[in-house]
Amino acid sequence: MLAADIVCGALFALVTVLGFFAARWRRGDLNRIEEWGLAGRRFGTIVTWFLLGGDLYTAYTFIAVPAFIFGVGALGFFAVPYTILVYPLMFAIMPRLWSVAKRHGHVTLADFTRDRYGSQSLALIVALTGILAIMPYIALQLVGIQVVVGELGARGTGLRADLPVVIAFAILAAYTYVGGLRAPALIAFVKDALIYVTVIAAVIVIPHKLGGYAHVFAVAERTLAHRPTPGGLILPPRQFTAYATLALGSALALFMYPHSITSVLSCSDRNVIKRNAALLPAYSFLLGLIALLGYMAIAAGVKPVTASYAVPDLFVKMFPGWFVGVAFAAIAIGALVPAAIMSIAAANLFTRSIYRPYVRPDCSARREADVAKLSSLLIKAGALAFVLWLPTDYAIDLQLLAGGWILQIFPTVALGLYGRWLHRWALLAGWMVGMVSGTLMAMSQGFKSIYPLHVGGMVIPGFAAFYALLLNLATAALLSVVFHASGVSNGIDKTSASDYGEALAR
Amino acid sequence: MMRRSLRLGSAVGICLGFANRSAYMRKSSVSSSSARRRFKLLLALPFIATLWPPLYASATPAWHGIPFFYWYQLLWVILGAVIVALVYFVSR
Repeated sequence: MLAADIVCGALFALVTVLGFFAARWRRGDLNRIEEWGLAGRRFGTIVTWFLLGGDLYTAYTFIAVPAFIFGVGALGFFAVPYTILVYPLMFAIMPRLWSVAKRHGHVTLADFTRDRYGSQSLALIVALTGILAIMPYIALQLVGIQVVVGELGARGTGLRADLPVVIAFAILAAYTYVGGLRAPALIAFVKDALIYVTVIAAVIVIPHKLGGYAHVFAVAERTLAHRPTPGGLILPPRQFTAYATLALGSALALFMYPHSITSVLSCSDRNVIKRNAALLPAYSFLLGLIALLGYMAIAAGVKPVTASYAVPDLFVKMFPGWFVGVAFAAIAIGALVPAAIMSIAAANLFTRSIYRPYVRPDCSARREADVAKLSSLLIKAGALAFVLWLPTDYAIDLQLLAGGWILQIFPTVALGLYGRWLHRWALLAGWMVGMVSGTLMAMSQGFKSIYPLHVGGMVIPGFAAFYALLLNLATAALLSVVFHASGVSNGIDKTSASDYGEALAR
Repeated sequence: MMRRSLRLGSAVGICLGFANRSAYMRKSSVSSSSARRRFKLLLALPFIATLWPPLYASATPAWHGIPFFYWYQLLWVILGAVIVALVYFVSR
């Protein structure tokens, strides 16, 4: 594994240099939060393609999706319809957000919520939900690095095994502190290039070595059928509703995550978002191919410690040492980019929606940027502590819950971009219902995302977060009728209809 | 199976048909905002095509050893991108 260590180390060093250089790239005044946290809203189509690609398709995705397929078969492929549906949604919704945010200087969804509904408390719950949802996600990126480090030979326990992760994260924290969003944007170029090279090599070389796709699928089908909980290649009818609600619910949730919003708001023009909605599916195609690696791992007969090691084990078995280094660097660097953006996004949320309104309302722009930088360090330290001292399963369970939580701000934010009929207090109540019911449903199933809903005599298994969203929407709609009828104040809208449209595109 | 491929074929056909119409509309510059809004409805196609698994939960027709379930959805990644691109160019 020496060759792998050297290649992986060299690529990591390259990325470190780039990370620190980023502060000088497209120079701006990094003492302002819009420069540090959104890179001055100056990214064009190409930079955004790499940035969003690096941001949305995380290292964890690249490990977890094939691991899911490896474990259960067809159901795991929901990641593909999910990432198909994300883009029509992004095309329709996100340009409106970009325009209004640009007009009013919003840096986060909570900023928008405050101005749209004239409600500090609604903004606070949007911010808190975002921070809560993003923390376990950052922690899972670290798990991605841990898997690679473990595979490279430090699978022991204690400090020796953890040291590489700690060092990687310390370096990441340093250049994110200095360069802000510019750092992950620049590193994303390397990350995405490595991922494309790795995956294209994998889907050509590995099936060839294993005797063709037909053989891969045949072996996978036989093996899955003989598992303790049998799986299959083709989705059985009893999983139809689960598959569809997982895909739709996840697609609705993705652009509610703070890190997605940070990348979207850093675009230079609303048309950059629209163009990327047509160009980003290239990554979805890649994800589909990566998912199939799960079956190749079965066909290759790898015996991973946990399903997370399925693809790394497959690479070690199939690739020469130096190329294993490239592939592992792709995964590790693939963890750094989203982790950086996520911590920046959480820092923006904390600074704009908690620190400024509740701690120091009169703070200067300089101070605001300083607080954001400092909190990005604290957030990363928290995620690191989480991963080092708590079992990995906690992070995975929490991330699953978090996916359900973030979906609950959809009515406030996404529907709020189109109108204000939903009353602000009704939205608050709906959010509460969604959070509580989503959490209870997931917990009742032992932290599985699928909840068997009983309707009449029928059982409809579906994505718990999606069911929670339906309850949330029903509550918000019902109470809106009540609040409007009884004349409860719906706050003052600081935005106007023209803020959302094409007119302000440039 | 035939039925399934036909349905798929007609979805592609619809997209191509719209593409021709869009070129025509731009040439004759009748692309009013209501026509543009109608084009946005195309964005619903990927939802219809993927959120109804009975449409594609089948092993055949396989393509180069890849079951229909997989290549159908991978194909829709591409079709989804084409549809978004189309709507983008028409709405510009």
